[in-house]
Amino acid sequence: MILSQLGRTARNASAKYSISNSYRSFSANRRLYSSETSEIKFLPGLLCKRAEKICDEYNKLEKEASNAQTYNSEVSTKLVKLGSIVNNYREYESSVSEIDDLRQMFSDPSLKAEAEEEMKSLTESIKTLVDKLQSRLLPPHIFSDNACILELRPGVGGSEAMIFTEDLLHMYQGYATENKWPFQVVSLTPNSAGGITEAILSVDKPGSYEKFQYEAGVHRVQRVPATESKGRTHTSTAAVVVLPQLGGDSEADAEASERKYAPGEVHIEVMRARGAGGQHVNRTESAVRITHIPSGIVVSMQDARSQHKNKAKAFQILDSRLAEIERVKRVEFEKSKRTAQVSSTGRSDKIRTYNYVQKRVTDHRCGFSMYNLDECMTGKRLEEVIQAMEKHDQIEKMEMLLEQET
Amino acid sequence: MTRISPRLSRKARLVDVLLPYLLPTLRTIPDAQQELKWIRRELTESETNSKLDSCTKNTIIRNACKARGKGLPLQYILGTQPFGTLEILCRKSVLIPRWETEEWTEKILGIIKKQLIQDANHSSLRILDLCTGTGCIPLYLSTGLHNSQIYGADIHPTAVKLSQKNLLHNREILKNNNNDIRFFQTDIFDDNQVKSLISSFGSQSLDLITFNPPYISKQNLFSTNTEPSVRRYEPKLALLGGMEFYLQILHIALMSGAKAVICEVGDLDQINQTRALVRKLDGWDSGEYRDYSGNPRAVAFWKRGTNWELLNDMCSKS
Repeated sequence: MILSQLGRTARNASAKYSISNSYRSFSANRRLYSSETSEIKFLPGLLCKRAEKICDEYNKLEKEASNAQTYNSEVSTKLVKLGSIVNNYREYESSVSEIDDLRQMFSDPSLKAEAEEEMKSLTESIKTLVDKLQSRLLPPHIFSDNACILELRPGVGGSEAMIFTEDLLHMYQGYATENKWPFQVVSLTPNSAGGITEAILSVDKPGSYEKFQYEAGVHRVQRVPATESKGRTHTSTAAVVVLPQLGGDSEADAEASERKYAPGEVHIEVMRARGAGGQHVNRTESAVRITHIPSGIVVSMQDARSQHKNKAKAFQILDSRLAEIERVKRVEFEKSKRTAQVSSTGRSDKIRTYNYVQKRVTDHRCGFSMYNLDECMTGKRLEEVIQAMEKHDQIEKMEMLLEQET
Repeated sequence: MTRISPRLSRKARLVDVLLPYLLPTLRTIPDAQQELKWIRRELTESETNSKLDSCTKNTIIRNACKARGKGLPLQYILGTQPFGTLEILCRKSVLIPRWETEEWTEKILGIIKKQLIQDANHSSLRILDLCTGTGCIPLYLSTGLHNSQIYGADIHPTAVKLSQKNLLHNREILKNNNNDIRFFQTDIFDDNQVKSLISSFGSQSLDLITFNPPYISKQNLFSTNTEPSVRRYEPKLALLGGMEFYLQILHIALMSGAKAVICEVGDLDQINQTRALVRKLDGWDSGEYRDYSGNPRAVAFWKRGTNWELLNDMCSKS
């Protein structure tokens, strides 16, 4: 039954294939990412073009490398990088041309069973190849290799929101522990009635930004708060901002990042000691507040006893915020260039709901729901939500590419 | 000092049982919370204490809070004070490094680095720090220098010993710079001692003298201008002083042939008087420096026509 179905889809596919002269233009006009394994998944045309370009570049580099007298490490690393894409693409091309051969076998009844068997394995291998190529060929996120900083702040809902903010912090800490990523709480302001009013978590693993980028936005919680006496369900929110970490934490970098700004661009303030200061006072006055005048961004830092360290951290966060603003601007610009309307992935609306009554986590952007709230909140199964978002993001990026193509 | 109201004390107890101990010194709950966080963090994580059981640890923290509440400086309790990239050891009878000093030292460090980039001939410098105390200024300056002579001097033997300890304590950060760092016991009002100190630099003349003398006047020390904690626990020898120190530093600057001098000050009056004296000298310029909280904090003077005119960059325009 399954086999015959397979055969039919294969026939279908090959019929379509014979209509259009090039499987490239055919695949481009097709819905590309069907979840059914029985259908053959082709690479979209635009990505094929891109892959071909990479092939050309690879050949050119190869020639260059063989002609050059001296060993060039830059070229060779690039060759290795491109090489894996080129190999995958060549494999993909040969697999697709095999379909053509198979089609002819279908007409022969003695070979039909064998052909169907063959088709099945071919479909599988094409699917894995396409998946690999897709993730490699889609334009990567500019910060995907960076470490990241998460800023958490309560939204509406008073002290319940502050408690939820703390829960979120624990979730991210748990997720980082689960992945064995080093992290530290850079700044934490506890609220005397429970919860936190502000937290900055720095995850110091390069590439962690890629995973955490989908966390940016407003998180909503629906539950009966511990502070509620009448058993009513409340809805509160917390906001998460995800920033890329630029450069390291070392002192040299801190100094360099301070020098990057023009004199007068950044206003540095320290906690003003009353009176004369200097030898008259021995209180630790290490709090630092920096204001970036052109953008109006204010960063204050008071966690460490060292003013130097606080200043370095504040500059680090200012750098990250400015870079993130720059990135968002660019994304908005690219979006505005597109003619078709796109469902918003911006931070304007709530992105996720944590419903404690139903033990459910729902991500509103990709429509993914999970009924293991507790394990999600400890960070153990947050990965599943993030993976769903990754898939969604990839689809969206491809849609964007297709629109550019047509 | 006014008494802490029972109401505030009760409120603090609800946040943390140890907070009421800290309130007499720190006055407000957020300030007390901040210091309690540091006390907990550093006393429980220190090498000697981390092996202790939690009961002993709690006793140590409680005693530290009680002592802090009586005004003992946090730096003496924890034993250290961050100074730029360094960690400076602090002991009773030696002045605690202040953030204002850290700030202008960092500015000087920036100028030195800038100058080094411009002029390869000045890659090695001769710097003298007088009234060095913990040795924080010469040690921090040496992080930005290579193949240089950096000497510190203090009148008090405990300070000299502590500065040598600090050199050892920060050797990891300083080990690659190949500097000659030494500390001497010198009375700067004794010309013979100063001469022998200068002669230890060798034949070449000094580049820079840094100076953080005691600058609090007697009436100021016993007024509300000065924190009780400073008055009660820090050495008078490192606090009480005035214009005689600035006069003497001018004398030493001329005697040693130094190209530039920077001195920390307590008020605008000391700056103006010093600058008036410098104006009488031929070929010298001067400037005043204000710290981040806007207080007049240092006076600098330098020989015209040397690289040290760069000091003018950090001085406020007037």
